[in-house]
Amino acid sequence: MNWEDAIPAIALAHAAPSVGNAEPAMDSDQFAAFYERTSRPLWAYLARTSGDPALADDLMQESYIRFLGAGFPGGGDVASRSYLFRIGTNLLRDHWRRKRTVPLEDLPPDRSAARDLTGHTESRLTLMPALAKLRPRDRQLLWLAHAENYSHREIAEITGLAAPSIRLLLFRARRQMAKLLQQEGAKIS
Amino acid sequence: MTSACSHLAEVRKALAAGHWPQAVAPELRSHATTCTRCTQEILITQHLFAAKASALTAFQTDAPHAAPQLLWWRAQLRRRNAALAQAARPIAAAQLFAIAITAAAAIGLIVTHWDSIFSSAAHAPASSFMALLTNWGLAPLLLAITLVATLGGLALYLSADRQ
Repeated sequence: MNWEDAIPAIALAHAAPSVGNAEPAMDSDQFAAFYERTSRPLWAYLARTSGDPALADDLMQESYIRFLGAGFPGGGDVASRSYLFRIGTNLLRDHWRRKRTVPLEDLPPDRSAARDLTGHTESRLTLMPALAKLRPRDRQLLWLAHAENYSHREIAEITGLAAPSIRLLLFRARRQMAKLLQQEGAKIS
Repeated sequence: MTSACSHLAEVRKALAAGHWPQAVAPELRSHATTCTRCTQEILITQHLFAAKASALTAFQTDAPHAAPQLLWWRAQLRRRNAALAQAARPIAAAQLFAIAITAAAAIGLIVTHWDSIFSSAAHAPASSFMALLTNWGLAPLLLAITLVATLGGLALYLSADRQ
């Protein structure tokens, strides 16, 4: 039996689309495949820019639910991925607005740090204090530009910032980040 | 703002492909040690790549995350609830309208029968219900029914609204 058939309400929702609501962005199989492709980078983005893996879990789930609730953005997988990151960015921003007095240093320790088997522990030990000293927006910009390799136009779409200002904001964030990393003793290899 | 270095695109390409530093030309490596812009690019990208790699590993080794099927189900449930809430809006409006009409009728009844109520009450002996009915007529009875109907409707509306 298909798991969706076990819930009559959902079967009903499929049979008769609700008035005033957009169609689901994709069917359940398409969504499962999309989730498989995007969940890890989205979680990495949310976890590293927030510094809180538990929060990243919550925001990731909410991002996917909102993504499915919204109409299909069009433009294929790349656009869907950008749209998902945009939802995650907005949720993160809302979280920071509600709770802006909690600095990154006061957040619970990263549970993954103890089990980091990738050999990047030293790099993370240098990076995390530097990231913590950056503004949330700068962390997001740097992650999207360097870890996700998004273009300035894509970053503007995801963050909701004006496209012409991305270049300048990234320049400032990059300069500050490099300075902080060098203060932490980081060197290029 | 620092002017873009002519080697920056090459450095970025090597970083994105994971070729830095082993698989790049020695000239490019020596340039990177002297160029501020390239140094920044390498320093930040390498650290963020490392953080991303550890996060991707942590995602798999951490506590289990919500299954996509569960997220799909929750999204459908939310869509359905939103549709129900939207459909219930006209019903709530109709309920409010009914309450307003009933209240207006009750007020109208009191206003039109005020004189008879007042004069009857002034001369009413403190006696049985039948005596009150004889002296006051049907006006208080109608008033009581209207009040009960109004308050009952309001209570029903509020309880339904909470659910």
